[in-house]
Amino acid sequence: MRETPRNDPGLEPRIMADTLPEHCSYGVCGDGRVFFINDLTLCTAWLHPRTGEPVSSGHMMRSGTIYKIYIYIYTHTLMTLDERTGSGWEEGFTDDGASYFIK
Amino acid sequence: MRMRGVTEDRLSSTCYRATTNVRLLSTNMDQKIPYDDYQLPVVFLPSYESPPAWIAPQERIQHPDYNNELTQFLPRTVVLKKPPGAQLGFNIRGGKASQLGIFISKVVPDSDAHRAGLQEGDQVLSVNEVDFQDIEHSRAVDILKTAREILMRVRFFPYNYQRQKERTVH
Repeated sequence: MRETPRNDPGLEPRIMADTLPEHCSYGVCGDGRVFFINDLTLCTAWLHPRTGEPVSSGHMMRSGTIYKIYIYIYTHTLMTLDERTGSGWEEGFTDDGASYFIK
Repeated sequence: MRMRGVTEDRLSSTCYRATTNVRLLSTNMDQKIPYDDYQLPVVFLPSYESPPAWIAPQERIQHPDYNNELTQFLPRTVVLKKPPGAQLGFNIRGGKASQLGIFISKVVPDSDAHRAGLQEGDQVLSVNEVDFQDIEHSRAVDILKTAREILMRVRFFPYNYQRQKERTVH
């Protein structure tokens, strides 16, 4: 785990609030994005392993309800979803101003 | 990685974020189905950006994606006094239109702002307790220009500052 000196509250306590599990730590990209490292599974992720939420990934967190979304994914299958956005979904925007959700 | 989409016709010049029936395509996919067959508007999403790949702990010290200190990116408080008629000492860009926040785009050398540690790439989180994360550019300018004393919460965030610079809308 990287050393974090005492500083303004905000970013750091969010990482520490739910203590990272054993074998997990975090890394910081040069551009300020924070990601999580799991030395057991040898994986990295934007999402905190306990809270399931991203920290400083560059997108905004959104919650709410989305109705009837058609998704076209890699299998070229059209699916309809009718569900509430749970935790971990962030909102991004294309250059045209359209919003989409990322997990 | 999974994406769910909410969007509108990318050929349209109108920007809006209503949650409606959509159809979206990832730029990674083969375009096997002609667009005419879609009943709904089509939008292209940016490629998904994965976090840096896992590397062994001993290699992290010298890896530029791993060896950065968190402290430089943590939120900070900057207090500036602005005498009447004085310039701010810094420029901002961004706002609600670009969806990325308000950023310091320039700091005048040797100004109070410079001495207080303000830098290009700082995102302005709030000014005098007004949230700046989803504010219109013009309103942000207003607040900064009319204030006599400025208490800013900022955080250095080059990732979004770079994305902000790449956008055409301020």
